[in-house]
Order: sequence, then structure tokens, then C-alpha cells
Amino acid sequence: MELFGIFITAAVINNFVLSQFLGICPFLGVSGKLSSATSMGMATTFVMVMAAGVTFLIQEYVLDPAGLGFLQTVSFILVIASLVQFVEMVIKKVSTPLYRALGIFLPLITTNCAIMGLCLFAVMKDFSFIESLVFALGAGAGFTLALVLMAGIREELELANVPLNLRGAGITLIVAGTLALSFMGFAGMKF
Amino acid sequence: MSKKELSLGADFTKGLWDQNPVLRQLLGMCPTLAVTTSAINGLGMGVATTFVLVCASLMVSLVRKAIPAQVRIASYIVIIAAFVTIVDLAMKAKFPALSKSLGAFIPLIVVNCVILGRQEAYASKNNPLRSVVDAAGMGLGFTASLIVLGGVRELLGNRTVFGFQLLPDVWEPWIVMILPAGAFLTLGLILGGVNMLNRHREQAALQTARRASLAVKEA
Amino acid sequence: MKITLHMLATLIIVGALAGGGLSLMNGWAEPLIQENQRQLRDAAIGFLVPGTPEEAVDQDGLTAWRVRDAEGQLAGWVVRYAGVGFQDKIDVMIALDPERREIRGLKVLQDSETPGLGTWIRLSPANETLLLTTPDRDLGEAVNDAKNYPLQFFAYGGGKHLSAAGDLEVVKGKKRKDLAPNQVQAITAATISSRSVVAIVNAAVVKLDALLAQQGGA
Repeated sequence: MELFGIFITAAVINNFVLSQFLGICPFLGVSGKLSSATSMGMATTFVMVMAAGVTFLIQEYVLDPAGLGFLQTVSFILVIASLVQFVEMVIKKVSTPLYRALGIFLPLITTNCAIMGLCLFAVMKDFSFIESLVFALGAGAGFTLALVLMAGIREELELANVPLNLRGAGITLIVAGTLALSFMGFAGMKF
Repeated sequence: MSKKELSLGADFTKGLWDQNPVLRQLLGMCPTLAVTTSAINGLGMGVATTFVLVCASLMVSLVRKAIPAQVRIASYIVIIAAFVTIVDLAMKAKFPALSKSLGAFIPLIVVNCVILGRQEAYASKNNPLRSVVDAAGMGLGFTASLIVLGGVRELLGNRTVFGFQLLPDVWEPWIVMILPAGAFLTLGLILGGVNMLNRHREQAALQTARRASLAVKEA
Repeated sequence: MKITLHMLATLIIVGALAGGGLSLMNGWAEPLIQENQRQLRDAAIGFLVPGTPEEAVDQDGLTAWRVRDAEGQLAGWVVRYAGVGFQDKIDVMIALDPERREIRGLKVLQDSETPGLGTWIRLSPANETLLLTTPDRDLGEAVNDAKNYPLQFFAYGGGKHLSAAGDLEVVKGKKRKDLAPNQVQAITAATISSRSVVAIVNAAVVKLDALLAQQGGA
């Protein structure tokens, strides 16, 4: 598959949130406001690309040659957790505004299954290093897109008269359902 | 412990309804939505998660005093990941068909926030027996929610539950139910129903309390 | 300093215990997993062409087996190949006659097509039983439903088979008896999945011919 195809597939056709169900927790939790949704999306994309690169190297040069495939889950989660810590430290040192924008979201990312899922899928699909990075970029873009769309709708919903029992998570899930339905329109696009 | 001690039984049952991880705490949503295209998938995922949750809770509770606070999250993650890999390998070896249909969501149990959440909130502060009971309750609540969601989706989308046909052939399957959109819609409506039930229960409790206080005043 | 040491020691001990435990577990599970995969593969080959398979080609993502019957005669070929479907990879096994002129069967091993629509490319258990219990897999005109898409790749209606020249095409809305030997009826509402399977089958037979010619030449 071409790089562009990988990007589009990850971003819209197999959207991580709306068709693969990865990263639902931040999708429900951080989609209340447009500004925080954008920041969360960017922080996640950033970590995704780094994690995809590092886990690719680990799989290719450590796990596979040593026949340690069964340590995949343990090593990937450790890599992601330490990567998030490291990114947090670097951002804090380098740029205060960036830290203010992304900082509070970074700890939440460790248990974001979109990152772990991305790394596992990249290995399953036998992607090369460059392909893995593009896949991560696409997945991040798709995650951000879903989050921003949802936040936009939820800001409008604030003004709507939602049935009492559906307020909060209920209506958010139903809106997500209709979004997922419309994203199905992208399925079947070929590159 | 400052909190009022719950009885061992209450520790177990709180996970089933009052603090149900999926329906009340909204944790572990990714596997909940992703694998519940059928009741059997929901059951498989629920059992796998419960196993990891119980084993990890026992382990964390046993070693809780030996682990320094700074590295506790990292240690918990390693413990959880180790049990997840055990489940993954065991399922691939013994239940290849189920393992295939759950796919990447077995290794993804490691990032299920229910599990890390219970370690941090409960197992790291309580004795092994209580931690295991708490984990079993939470796991059972999680499994039950998954089976309900999977059952509803399978029934409406495929006319069957656990593979047995329940709706007649004239029922045109609602394919949307087994598509991703169906997962979101069904869970949204189930949450609405749960809220409604809870509101009724709260109101009923409130009224009983009011009546009781009136009775006291009259007396 | 003492705390750092304690932290490091804890992490190393936890990591070592986890790694050791998992390698024990892996030692137990690995042979079982491989056995499962082998059984699954052999069952699929046996279903498509009964007999003893012997690997003929394993190159560039294509695997092919010659299958011999009890007398050692060539009973047919089975080819395994994968391609892109509606959502993701579709992994299929295709049965061919001994001369590789006709397609005699198709089994989808793995796909992520739309549940309830594209998943009709799979053989249902009922269809599988039907095929196993029908002599010579001659299904006659019984197969006349878009949901029986995979059955078209087996013999139906007087031993009619599909062409294995790599020229299969997908058509819509034709009566089954009017179909040419290179035409496959699409699944209703899942034309793209149907086309994907046909494209994979075409690619597989062409590639198998090329690889075998190469082997013969070498």
C-alpha cells in the first residue's frame, strides 16, 4: 500500500475511535471543550509517532532476533509509559507554553489504548519503519478529527434539551454512534 | 483506614451495580464497545479481563509493602502485562477460535483502565483476601455488562444469542447493531436505562426516608 | 541514594520475575499454538481438496500445495494468497483442478469485512456441511442466492466451474444459469468485498502460474 493510502486508511476509513474503538476514554472524557480536544489530539499524535518509531525498533532489532515475541506486551507498555514521562520532562524544560497546553494531558495518555493498539497493529500489518510512522501520523490525525468533531457537537448540545436520563455519557455515546455511521461512508475507498 | 469498613460481601457486590465499572464508572470502554458483536465474545473478553484483574490484584496486594511509591505504577504495569501475556498465550493455545475473534483486544487488556484503577485505588491499600474479593466483584460486573451489550447486539443484529436463534426468520436483522455505530448507540441507550433505574431507586429511597422522618415527628 | 537503589532493585526483580514466568509459559504454549495453526491449515486444505498435501511453492506471500489422492494421483491444487479487501487484508485458500484450468473451491481464512454484509464472502457452517454432504459437490440449481456467494467457486449445476485463467469478473443482477465461466455474481450490498475476493483469486492463479514456470525453468 502506498504511504498516502496508509495515512487515509488510518485517519478516516479505519478511524481509530469511530471504527476501531481505540482511545474511547479520552474521547468521552476530554471532548467537552473544543480547545482541550485539540490539545489532547495533538499530544496523542505526538506520542503516537514517537511510540510507533521506538516500538518498531524494539520489535525489529530486539524481540524478533532474540525470539522473545511473548515479551511484546510487557516491553511495549513499558516503552510507552517511559516515553510519556520522558516527553513530559522534555516539554517542561523546553517550552512553558507548550507544557501548559499539553502537559496535563500527557499522564492520561499512558493508559490510552489507542497508542498501545497502534503499536500492536503496526507490527501485525508488517509495516516498515517509514510506513509505521505514517500509520501513526494518520491514526493521530483521525483521533484528533474524531475528538474535535465530538467536542464541536457537544458544545452545541449544551444548549439542547436532552432527555434527563441520557445527559452526560448516554447522549455522547449516541452522538458517537451517528458519527460512526457517517464515517462508514469512507469505507471502500481504494488507493 | 478512615473510610467505614465494608463487609466482605458488600465489597464483592459493589462492583456488580453501585460501582459497576462499565455502567457506573465508565471505565474500560474500548474493549466493551469493540468486542461485543456477540454474547460469546463479551463472555470471553469478560473472563479474560476478570482473570487478569484478580491475579494482578492478588499479586499487587501481596507485594504492596515492598514496592516504593515512586515506581509503583511501573511495577503494577509490568505485573498486569505479565498476566495479560499469560492469558493471551493460554487462549491462543487452548481456544484458538475465540482468540482469533478477540484479536488485538486481548493484549490491549493491559491498558484497560479498570485494572490499573483497581490496583491504585484498592489492591495497593488492602489485604490480599479483600483485594481478590473486590477484583472478582468488579470483574463479574464488567463481564455481566459485556454479556448484556453483546447479547442485545447479537439478538437484534443476527437474531441469535450465544449462537441460538431466538428471533424468527421474518425478523430482518438490524445489521447496524453489529457495526461500530450499533455499539455506541446500544451502550448509550443502556446507560440511559441504568440512569432511569437509579433515579427511580433514589427517589423511592428519598420518599421512604421522608415518610420515616414524618412518622418520627408525628410520634 | 538508598531509595534509588530500592527503586531500581524493585523494578529489576519485578521485571525478571515477569520475564522468567512468561518464558516458562511460552515454552508450554508455543508448541500448542503452532499445532493449532497447522491443524487449522490442514483442515482447510483437506476441506478444499481431500488427500495428502505436499508443499510446492512458498514464495512472495503465496503458498501452494499439490494434493495427491490415496493412489498417489494428483487430485488438485490448493493456493493460499492474501490481498486488500473492503477494510483490511483478506486471506484466502483457493482449490484448483490438477491441470489448473478451473477453480474448484474457495475458503476465506481471515477478513475484517463489514459484519452482516461483506462477511458473506465466508462459507457459512451450513454451506460447509452442504458441500461436504453433496456428492462431487454438484449443488445443481440449489445455489441461487447472493448470500451463497462462496458456493459459486465450487462446482454447481452440472459440474460448471469457474475459469482459472485470471480473467474472472464480477457481475450484478444476472441469473445464475446465464453466467459465463468467468463471471461471479456479486453479493448484494457488498460489491466491493465481492470484487476484492475475485481480484485476489485472479492475482493468485496468475502468480502461481508464473512461479511454477520459473521453478520449471530453473
